[in-house]
Amino acid sequence: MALEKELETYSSKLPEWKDHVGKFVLIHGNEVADFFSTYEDAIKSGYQRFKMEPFLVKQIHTKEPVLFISRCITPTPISSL
Amino acid sequence: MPHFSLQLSPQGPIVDAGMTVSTARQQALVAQNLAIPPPQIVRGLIDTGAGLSAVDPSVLQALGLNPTGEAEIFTPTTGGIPVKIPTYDVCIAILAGRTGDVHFISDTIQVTGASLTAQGLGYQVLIGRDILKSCILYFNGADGVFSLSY
Repeated sequence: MALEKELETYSSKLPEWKDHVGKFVLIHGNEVADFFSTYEDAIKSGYQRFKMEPFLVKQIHTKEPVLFISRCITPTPISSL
Repeated sequence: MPHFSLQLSPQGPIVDAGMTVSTARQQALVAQNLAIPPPQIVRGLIDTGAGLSAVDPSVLQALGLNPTGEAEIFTPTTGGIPVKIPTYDVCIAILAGRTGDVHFISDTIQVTGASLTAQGLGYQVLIGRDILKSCILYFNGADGVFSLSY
């Protein structure tokens, strides 16, 4: 699964991040690189620091929001092609 | 505000769009002497029912993207529960009006993958409320036109 290690790091650190709710965290492997106010800044820093290596940018929420798409489509990652 | 107006198509408010890797990814590719994938010209449906913009995986694959995020998505096909799915960072430009006119460039947006081409609907992108949140959409069904200010 893509970004498995980064998502594990996110889940394990989340309880410590109450002061960062709403910000975007940049994670590379087990490393929490930094927090950002915008998605764009986090993505930019991710590519600057980690180039083409995997990294995760995720907005911090205490409860993960669910995004609705009312159209009858199947969510499909690239790897399932 | 800049804006454009188009005729409604039988599928609804459809726009042509150019999609490339995000500016930050472009810079990383150049720094590593890697080729930048060519832009993909796609058709997008403006969809106020989509909380996140979605792109057909064939387009994401042509851009050589790797996931940089994850989102929980709920659709009528996810069996009554949300599913976690990778997200990707892309640059999108809406092409409208005269040939060569470019509108609404967003150089880094988060999108997810969703099979759209397989349904034969004639579009490869759902332009959702994550993009529309900074726009004014005017839907004039009586005259068969729509306008987008941004």
